[in-house]
Amino acid sequence: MRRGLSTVVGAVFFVVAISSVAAYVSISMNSLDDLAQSIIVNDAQSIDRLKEDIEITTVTLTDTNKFNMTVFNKGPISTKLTRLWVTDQSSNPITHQKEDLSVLINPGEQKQNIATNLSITANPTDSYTLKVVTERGNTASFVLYTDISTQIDLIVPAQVLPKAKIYVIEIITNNSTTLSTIANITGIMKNDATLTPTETPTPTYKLGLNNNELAIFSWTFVAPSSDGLIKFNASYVGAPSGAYVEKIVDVSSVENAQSATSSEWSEKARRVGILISGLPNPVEGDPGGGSGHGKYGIGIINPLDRPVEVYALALSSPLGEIFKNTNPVGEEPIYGWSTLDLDLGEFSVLLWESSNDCNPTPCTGTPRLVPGESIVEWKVELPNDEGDSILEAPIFVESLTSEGKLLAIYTLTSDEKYPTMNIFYTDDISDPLNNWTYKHDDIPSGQRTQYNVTVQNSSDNRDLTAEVALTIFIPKDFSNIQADDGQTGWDDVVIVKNPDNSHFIKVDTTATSFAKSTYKNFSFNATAPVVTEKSLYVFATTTFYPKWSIASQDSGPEIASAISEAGVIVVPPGPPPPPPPPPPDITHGPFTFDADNDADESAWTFVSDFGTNGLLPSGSTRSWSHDTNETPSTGVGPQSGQGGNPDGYVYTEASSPAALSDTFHMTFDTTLNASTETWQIEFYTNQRGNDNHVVAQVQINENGGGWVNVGSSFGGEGGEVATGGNDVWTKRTVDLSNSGANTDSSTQVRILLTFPSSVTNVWHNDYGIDTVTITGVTI
Amino acid sequence: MKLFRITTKRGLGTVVTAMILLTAVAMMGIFVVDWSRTNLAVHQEKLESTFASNLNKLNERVIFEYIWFDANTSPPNNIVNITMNNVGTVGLNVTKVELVDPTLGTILATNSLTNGGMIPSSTLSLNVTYTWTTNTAYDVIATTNRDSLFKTQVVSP
Repeated sequence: MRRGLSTVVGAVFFVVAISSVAAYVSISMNSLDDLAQSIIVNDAQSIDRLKEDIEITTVTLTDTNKFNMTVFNKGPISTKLTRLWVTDQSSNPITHQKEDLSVLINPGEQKQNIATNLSITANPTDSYTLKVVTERGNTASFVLYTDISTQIDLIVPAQVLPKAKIYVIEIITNNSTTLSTIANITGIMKNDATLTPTETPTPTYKLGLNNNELAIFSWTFVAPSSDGLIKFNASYVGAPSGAYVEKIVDVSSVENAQSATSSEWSEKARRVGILISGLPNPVEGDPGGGSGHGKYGIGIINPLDRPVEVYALALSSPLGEIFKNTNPVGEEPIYGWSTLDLDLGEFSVLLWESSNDCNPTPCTGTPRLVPGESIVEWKVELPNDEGDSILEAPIFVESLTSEGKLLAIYTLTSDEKYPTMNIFYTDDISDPLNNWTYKHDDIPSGQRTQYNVTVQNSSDNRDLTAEVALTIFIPKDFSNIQADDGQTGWDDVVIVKNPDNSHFIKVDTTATSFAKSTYKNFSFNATAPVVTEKSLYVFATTTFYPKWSIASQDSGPEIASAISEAGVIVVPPGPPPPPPPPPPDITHGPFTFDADNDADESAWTFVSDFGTNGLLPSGSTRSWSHDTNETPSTGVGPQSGQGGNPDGYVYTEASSPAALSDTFHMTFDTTLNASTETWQIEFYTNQRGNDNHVVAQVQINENGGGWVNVGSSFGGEGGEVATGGNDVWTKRTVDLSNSGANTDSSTQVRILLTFPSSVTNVWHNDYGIDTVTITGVTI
Repeated sequence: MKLFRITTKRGLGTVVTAMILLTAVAMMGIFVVDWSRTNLAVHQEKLESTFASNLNKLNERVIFEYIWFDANTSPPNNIVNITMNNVGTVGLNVTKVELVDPTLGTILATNSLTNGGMIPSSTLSLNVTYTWTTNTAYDVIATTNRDSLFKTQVVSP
């Protein structure tokens, strides 16, 4: 009884103590668990924070001067923009504004029009720094500049006639190396002749100019009635001081003012560039219809010693919709062309893209390669009926290459509807329209060469009603320039040598009219420079028709013209011809047999152990036969020799009465000295036919000791080529010393062919041998 | 009879002794158990407090969302405006913000706050008065009442 009571009391104490400790431990464990969970959650949040990756890609201003921001979520998790900070860097003092955002962006999503509904507004002439903050605390910034690094290009004609229209184009490029946008850019064009534009500048402004983007503005002025120089000054609203370009236009009453070529290729080419060839001016010779086509040629000239990859090439014009909905023909390359209507007013584009060149299909996007020191052409013909009355416009020729973006600008200077002129070169003066080009490959160094220029009126409903002139500028390294004798239809050939030794050819057509859909060729000769390495030159060639005026024009005569920048590749003299091969050493070989001449065949003895000996004509059954094309047996045996078609070869004619287990051998009559040389035999075999199981074996006979096998046998396992397939010649090589006994000074060699012992179609066993070479090597 | 008397005396002494011992042991047991429970409760409370404090400290996170140097002050260049954002999951109280020379580690200016409470996702803007020099790096350090430190470095314009 007493013992039991103490046990109970002790047990109670024990339970109380254990429960207390357990409670403590439990609470401690819970706390530790909470801590661990919290650390895990915290780590996860930290990882998410690190994963978050956003970028403000563009910022522009809306018509109401609100910021219009595009943010790209580059990270793998969604993000929420919670705040926008805007700092006006141009104000004094600098002002800071912030506004809350609530913009969710999914991974990979680009959200646009952010901040357009906020109360923050911008001054278009100020520069701003924008910074967005995400819910996780990450930030992204963007700078919106008004005065950053820009490139201004100004395009004006070098010369114009009095009262003529002057088309002036300003190109502004955002070439900043930092992510930035120029807000609402507006071009400014001033001149020192108080000329005012005849039309509202086009366009009036551009919303937001991002990195590497262009803004193009054009103005039209009318030149004064008197001669003089006009200085144009191009800039833009908000440009930093000094950011402007000036160019001078010469207003001159010289009638042929516009004929002077503006080609830059007056010397040996030293950089990758665009060659313009055949662009007509104007482009509308057949208004309202007609089938005439103008030739548009673009070349990429590559004087470097490394290849240039061309990814895209485009002809575009901001006016006249010249390339809109056109239907090109005669494209070279055939695939990859398209026309684009960018919905930018009259802006139209004719485009070639390597990614669109689907020949062969599927489209691989493989760029077109311009090998080092070469010229590659793109050619296309467009109808002369683009149908818009505005024909005075620049044509931008652009190309995206592995050497960078190339740009050339060709300006149409004639408006109204008019015959369309083309100019190009040809190597076939009897059919130049189908053989037009603007490159001359492989002109030998120092050699006198004839060049042929073709002038074409590609309109099919309008004649030229006066003389046509042609000018050719030849770089200074060429000499001895002369017009080709005896050609008719050209007058007044003038060849002028310039102070820098370049030459200028000017010639007029004899006839006072140039009928529609006709052409005239003009040929001249020039001696190419002596070069030690491949050298590329350009003949800048222009044709023009200067004597046209129409009553509706108050700006004086217009000039129709065309330009062709023809590339000329002069190559140095080739290496001296290799010395003739040494005569064969008959004691060492090689001894050859190609079954193409009697001498070969007479050096061998052909034996058919069960048929007729000798080398017989094709079709001689159960014997060695000679042939140069397919054997008489259908679908079996060689189709031609190993060297091509036709080409001689020998074979076993297996037609009946040839039988199973027949043997044939061809023995080289000359004995070989194997005591001082080791010998090797090479030959080609042809085994075509399902039941062609012939076994070929090389054998030697040392001093009459009997024929022994050397090396492995060939064939036997069945036709290498099935019946009716294209035959295949297989090279076999056997080292005659493989037998280990080939050491005698009088050794003979032969090829033994053995027919199979059991096949259904014995006639399949037409087995061919060709091009046997026996070579000795001194021991 | 004689035998009965002797037996009765011996049993009473044993019972009394047993009772005394039992009572003493019970008293000591109750004391020890009570002491240990009290002790455990105190430790438990301390443990919970410590864990809670550390958990909250662990979840504190402040970013410096925007810092700009105000040049148009009198005297000039005398204010640094700092905006902080509580991107953590718990409320916190910023007690001071210091401007520190990152090279020497000396405290250049301090703004001690009495109303620096920030609920999650809220911002707090404040000025630190200091005559800053242009194109110079400064460390900005914010301290919370849980002794968390948040630091960034900025370069004056």
